[in-house]
Amino acid sequence: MVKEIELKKIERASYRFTFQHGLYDILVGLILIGVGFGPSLYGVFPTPLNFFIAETPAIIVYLLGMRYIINPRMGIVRFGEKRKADKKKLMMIMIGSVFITLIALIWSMASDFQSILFGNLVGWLIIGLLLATLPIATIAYFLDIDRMYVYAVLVGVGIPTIEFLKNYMDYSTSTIIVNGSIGIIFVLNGLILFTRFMQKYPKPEEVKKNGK
Amino acid sequence: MVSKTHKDDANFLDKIDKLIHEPARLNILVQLHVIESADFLFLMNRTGLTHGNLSSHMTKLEKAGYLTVKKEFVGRRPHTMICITDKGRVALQKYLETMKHVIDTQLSKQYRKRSEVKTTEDLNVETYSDEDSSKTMSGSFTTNLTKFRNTPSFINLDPLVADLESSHLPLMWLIGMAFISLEMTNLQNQEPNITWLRK
Repeated sequence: MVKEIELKKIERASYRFTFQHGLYDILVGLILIGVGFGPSLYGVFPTPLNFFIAETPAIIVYLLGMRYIINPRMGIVRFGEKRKADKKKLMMIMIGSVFITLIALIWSMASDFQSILFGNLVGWLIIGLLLATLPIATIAYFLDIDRMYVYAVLVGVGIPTIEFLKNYMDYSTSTIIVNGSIGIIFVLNGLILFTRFMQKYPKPEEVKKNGK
Repeated sequence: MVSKTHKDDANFLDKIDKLIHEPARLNILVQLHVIESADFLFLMNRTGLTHGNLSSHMTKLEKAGYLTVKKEFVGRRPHTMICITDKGRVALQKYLETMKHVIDTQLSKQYRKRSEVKTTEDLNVETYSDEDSSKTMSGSFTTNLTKFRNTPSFINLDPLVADLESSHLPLMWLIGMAFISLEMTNLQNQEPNITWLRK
């Protein structure tokens, strides 16, 4: 009995349990798919309506899923001071990354910056690593979710891949293919985790009905 | 005639807290020890106990003063949260140290040969604290994080952390990044209109 007790592992297992339902993976995947289809909607709907149409399904699925499916099965937990401190740091990093991305957006409107950095695939790879891989990997570190490191690399590599495919097809098609493919990978992974979660943790009312 | 070793074993085994020694209650206390608080459903999921089983063990632990039940609001919904008391933490720590001592000192070499268990080094019985958990990270990164950890007191991030715990802030961040990336892709296909940004 005493052999089984490793308190750090137990704390880490409890913490990781809160991310094992797969809904976050589904959310990120649907957002990516929305980003992929977004450029196609620019000609049809005005900004920012195209954004809301592209991203609304992801937000609805996430909010409803958490409210009606995950929270009634998972329960509520509060972790100790170390996890709270990590979340504070993570929040500051997230705020910082939004500012940096906004600055990159404003810079991209200047033609000189575009020609220097966006002129080749290496430049786009750097952009992808800095604006996508690095923030997502940092989030993965603080939230202690290993699979997010893979997500970070996929999203970062997707940006130069879109630029590469632009040589063979139009921009809208390349974003749909790349972001859509990466998003589908995330969604499928999320669905697997979600299915396992639902099988392993039924609602307490269902347990009473089935007499388990 | 009872040997001295056997008599010492019996005396020492009496010191083991029998309330905690039961596997289900030990599991409950260990789960509560590593977190701040949790509700009944979370504990049920983590311990694998049934509703009735968990309820009866929790009643015993609450009567002994090892855990406490608080009614509070999470968002707008009332919730019953369970947390371990200081008395419970001390009792659990004492129990683990007692078991470690029993295995290390009370088992004679003769018993060790017969038993599969060797010493507590193999059992990995260890204490846990928030400070210890930082040792799981690489040394230099931990040092830098320690400096970063000491945010000035006038920056009150607690309400925003509460938002983060309720998962609204990560969602807002994702939405913000998605919006910005969409606008960037749109702008790359358009002629820049802001002339003051050009040379």
